[in-house]
Amino acid sequence: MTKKLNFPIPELLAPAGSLEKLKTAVLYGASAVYLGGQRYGLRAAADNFNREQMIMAVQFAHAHGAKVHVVLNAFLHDSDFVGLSEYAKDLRLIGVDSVIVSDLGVIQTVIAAGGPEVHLSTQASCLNASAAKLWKAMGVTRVVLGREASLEDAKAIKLASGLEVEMFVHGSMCMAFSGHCVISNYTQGRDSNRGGCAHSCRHEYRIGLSDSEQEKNSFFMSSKDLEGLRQLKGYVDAGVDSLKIEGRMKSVHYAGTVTRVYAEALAHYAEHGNFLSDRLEEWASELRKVHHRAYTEASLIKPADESSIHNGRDSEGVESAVAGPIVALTKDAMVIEVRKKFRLGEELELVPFRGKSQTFTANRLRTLSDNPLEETKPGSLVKIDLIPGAAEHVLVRSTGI
Amino acid sequence: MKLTYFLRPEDDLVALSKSGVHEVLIGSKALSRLGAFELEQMIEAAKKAKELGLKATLLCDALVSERDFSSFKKRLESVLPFFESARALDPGVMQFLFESSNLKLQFVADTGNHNLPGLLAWEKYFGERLERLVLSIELSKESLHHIIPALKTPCELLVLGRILLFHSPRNLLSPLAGEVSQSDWIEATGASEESPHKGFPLVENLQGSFMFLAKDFCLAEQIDDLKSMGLEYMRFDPTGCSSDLAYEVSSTLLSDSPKLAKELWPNPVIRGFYGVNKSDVLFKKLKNPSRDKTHALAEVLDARKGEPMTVKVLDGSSLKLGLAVKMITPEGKIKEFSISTIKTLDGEVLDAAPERSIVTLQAVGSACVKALLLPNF
Ligand code: SF4
Repeated sequence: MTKKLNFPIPELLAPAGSLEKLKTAVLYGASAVYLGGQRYGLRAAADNFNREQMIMAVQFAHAHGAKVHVVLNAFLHDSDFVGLSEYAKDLRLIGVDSVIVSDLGVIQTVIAAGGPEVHLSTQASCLNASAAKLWKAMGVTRVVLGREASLEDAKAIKLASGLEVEMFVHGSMCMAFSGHCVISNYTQGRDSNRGGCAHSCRHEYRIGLSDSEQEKNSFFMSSKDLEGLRQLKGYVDAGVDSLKIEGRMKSVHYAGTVTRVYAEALAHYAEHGNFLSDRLEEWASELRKVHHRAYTEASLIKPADESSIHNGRDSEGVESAVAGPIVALTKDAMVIEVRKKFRLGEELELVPFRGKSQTFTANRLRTLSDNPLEETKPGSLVKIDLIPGAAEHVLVRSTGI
Repeated sequence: MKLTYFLRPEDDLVALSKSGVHEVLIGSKALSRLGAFELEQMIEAAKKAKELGLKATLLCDALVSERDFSSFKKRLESVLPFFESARALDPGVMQFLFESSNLKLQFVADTGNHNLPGLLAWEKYFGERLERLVLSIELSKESLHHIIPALKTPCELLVLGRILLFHSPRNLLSPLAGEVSQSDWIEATGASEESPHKGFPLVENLQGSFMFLAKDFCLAEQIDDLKSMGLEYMRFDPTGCSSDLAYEVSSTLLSDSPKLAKELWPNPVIRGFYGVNKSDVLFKKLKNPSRDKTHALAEVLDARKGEPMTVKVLDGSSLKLGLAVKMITPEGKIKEFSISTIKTLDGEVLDAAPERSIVTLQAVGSACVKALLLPNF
């Protein structure tokens, strides 16, 4: 629990795939972020942080009262250990609050080097209180439970082990027990436990059942995405210490929008002691505005069943896309880095860090040299006349999808 | 080297003991991932194995959620008296056996236990009770050479059998199976429609759903190597072959010509990562992004023909008038120039731009978004 409030709330832990996403998540209400360094993490292809960026990340997060957890969750071979002790010491020096680790060898090395405190990654598949006790003896202070755990499980594990418990509240889910899938190791030479998962579980398969002549095509091992919004009371009652949003590889739109929804819901709880806000439906509809597969509550209440399988290739239709984040303000304009094309006269939506979004019309579009524009191009910077509520990192959305 | 055999209900223990097998792993549907025995049947098999002089090891390698843990424990406790050794994968099951029984313990250190510091830590934690470490088939020959002699606990490695690719707690086949979905064991094969991979054997049982590689793992030709490393136990998983053939393969693996076992085996085989760890190569490649910003001063945010270009000065860097820079586009095109204009976005003229500022520079031909500016020494 992080803040002293009427009703204490858990940490809201958001993904930070880049410094931009980190700032967005923190400004939209994350009380902690997790990010990868350039070594020892699972998201090998993500835009991971170098030392300078990590220092900036810690300074920014701490200045806004948020913690920084660094992911060191790859399973290492002996040759990968070179420099790990020094790296762990350095992370502590930089001020990183914890490291998220799955490999016992890495846990031992980080502890021996006097590195930051160690949280056990979901990749280690800690499923029960008995395992949590063992990991506590190994020196971890928190366990990140797998998506297969229920809220009841979390409560029991926390009570029996005395460890902090972190649980996913939102995002994509691995269909396997975490850490128990090596499909891409053998089919593509990419080690999924060291950052190479090729998402083979999202493929369509032709299945021939042994007792049947027929073959069936199916996305039989693709999971829907987790949405824990309506179970937040359960998370709080179970004593879950940290609510984790999945998605370091996802967009800045995702980082801002999803973080904002859960931050506002938790703020409501902190004030009123319940989640019975008349904004619940609005929050739920916000979560449908980012790219996602159909949502499920997975195993939060009862073991995930057939309804948790996403038998299809596509994401759900999204109702909005980010036009772009505001990257700077001038005397009379907000400068938007365009992510999705929009046109002059189009209705846009400014999403403030707190409170309701406001719609406005893009009446005047300009290049940075003040030449008029009819439409924007992704990747470019454009000026839109300044409106109240504009600030650096605020998201501007396009509603006409 | 001694041979450990994954026992199936249809196998004949007498024939197995004659073939020279040292140990049988007996797994039930309720306690193990892929064992097919009922609990009563398992107890009978354990008793018979012991009478025949075979070591009978309880296979309890299921992954167990907290909600199922107490019923799992009860079932486990009911069979413990019939065994002297137990093998588990879930650290929670290991911890339970460690605290609540006197059995010798075998730890399946296959998923992600790929380094000596971690394996030594398991060894230290379980101490004298740890009878064996079951190593990962993802370890290369080089790693095995280095790891096995450094451990005081005897080690085991699969030398012939299925390669498990995926284990999910969810029931993934029964939704497709219609009537047979009531069964507690469903088998199928899968072919990816999006890659050339096909023939994946699939199983759904009480422990969830499993996918295996179409080819089996075989180190029959490397048994002499493994002996020289000090490996004490080799494991044989006969799934996919008849019992009679399995006995023949067992005795061949223990013979002076173990490599003949590969010829007897009915399925195609691979050596996995024994020879070279392919994953290592890719891991390094993925970690080397082509666009390295380490030495860059600024990144182009906006560029239009004939208009000043807008850049963001990167952390720890600055730009000043007259500075010679080299611009590299994402396609690798290089353009050299000196900075002649710096302005704020409001048009205010500057001599220099500090880190993290967004400023406009003069128009530069071939500038494009995401191009990097580097110092041109
Ligand atoms: S392929 Fe799917 S199940 Fe396997 S590791 Fe990747 S996300 Fe998880």
